[in-house]
Amino acid sequence: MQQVFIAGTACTAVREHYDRSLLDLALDALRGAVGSFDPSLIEALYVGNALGDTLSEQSQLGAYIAGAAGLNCEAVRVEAAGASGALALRQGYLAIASGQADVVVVLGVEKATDKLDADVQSALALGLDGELERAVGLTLTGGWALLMQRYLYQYQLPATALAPFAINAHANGAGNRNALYRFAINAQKWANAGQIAEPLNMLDCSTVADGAAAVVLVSERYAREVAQPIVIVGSASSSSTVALAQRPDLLWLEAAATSGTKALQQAKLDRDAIDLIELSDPHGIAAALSLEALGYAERGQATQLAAEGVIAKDGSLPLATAGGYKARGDVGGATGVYQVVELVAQLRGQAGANQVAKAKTALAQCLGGVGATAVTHILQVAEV
Amino acid sequence: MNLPKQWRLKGQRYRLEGQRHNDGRVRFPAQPAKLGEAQDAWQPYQLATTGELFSWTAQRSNRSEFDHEPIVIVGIIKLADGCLITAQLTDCEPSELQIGMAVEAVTRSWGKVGEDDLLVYGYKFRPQLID
Repeated sequence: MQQVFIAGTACTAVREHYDRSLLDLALDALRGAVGSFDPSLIEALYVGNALGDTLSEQSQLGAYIAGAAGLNCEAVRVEAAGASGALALRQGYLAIASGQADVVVVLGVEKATDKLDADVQSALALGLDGELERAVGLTLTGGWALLMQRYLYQYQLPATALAPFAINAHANGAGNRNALYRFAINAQKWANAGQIAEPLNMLDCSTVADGAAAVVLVSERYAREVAQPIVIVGSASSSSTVALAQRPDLLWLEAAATSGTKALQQAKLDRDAIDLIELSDPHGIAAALSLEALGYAERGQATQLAAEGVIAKDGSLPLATAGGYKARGDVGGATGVYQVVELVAQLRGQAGANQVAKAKTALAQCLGGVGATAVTHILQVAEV
Repeated sequence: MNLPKQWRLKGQRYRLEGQRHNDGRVRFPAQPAKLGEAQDAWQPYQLATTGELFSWTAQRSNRSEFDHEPIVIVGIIKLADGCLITAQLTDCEPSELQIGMAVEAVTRSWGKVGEDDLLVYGYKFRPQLID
């Protein structure tokens, strides 16, 4: 196995980019990540995208984007709902780790705002079980709401127990110029927000928007030429049943637990060695269940981590330091690549107002659907 | 129009047809044997039509197919035989709902599909009328 390094990274601002196409966003991110690197060395392009065929009416995104970029190489679209970008990163990782390639590019791109919100909801719901959940009217947000309702009942918590996750995300988003929402919120605003899918309210729901992020992965052969290379020391994915009612334990994200454990084992790290973390946090309940699956909290106890400031920028496990899904914006299948771009900035000391002191090791976990796919990557500052 | 699909699913949607394992486990819907399972380990089984509300949500931001409905209430039901099923809740308001309340299955319209507006029916659940 070759070691896999992250060289260039870039992302667009997350916005409602009405004046820009999927291709415009993709090429912006690709140009930024490749920089002055010789594009003729790129051996493969892995595109993470969840909604392109329904919302942009374009499939075969690998060839579509590679052609526009002037690349004639292996070009693959990877789809696993919200985990698409993270799974594309894993495909790029495997290509280099296996020795098949020395330079690949991973792109996450999502263009959601060409359609109305109801159409976006329909497209997002494709990540649910089509016959058992989508057919009865469930939305992706509704799926998480079902988990939250049961969680509050089982652990006898008020809905406001989940509020600190969104408050933390917005506090961090205010310092990220690429974030969709650059303002703070407080507990009172959260409590007064209107319901979207009870018990999920508007300030506990991310907004789906447009964006693209890209990373260049290289083998050790090229890592020596890179300023501040970051090494991927753990990479693992896992899956569990898509249909919520078929899971043996509704409140246990099995795929998240398995992929997290595997990635930490590969990295030969204890979870306490992680300096900061990115999770799939479109709602507080998603962050809470992920923290429990990763072993950072006992079952039913994750809200305490948020309430006690553990996940704050100056806490012991900073979460969503660029704003997370809630404030940075929910970029669908591009999210897994955004997470890594944001963590690389932290590990390189380039995160500006949101910089976490002495950040050396970071973990990104990205979920597809309501956690049916989970992909975990662990990054470290490289010494080459 | 996906007419063959609607026809294929009529057993699970009209009669709650699932499967019961030799060891007593129940699952929904009927599905092929998993890898490593004996083909005949699961036999056809009609699920219980009553149960209790396990979780629920009242969706106010809905998909295009349901956009004409201001609120779509979806629940997970724990049936009397232990099987969980996701279904729309009907004949009720969100304010009435409590986890653990008794519910029962009814057959109702799920909507229209295709250019000919084929009416599709299936299971929904409502608060149980009679104990």
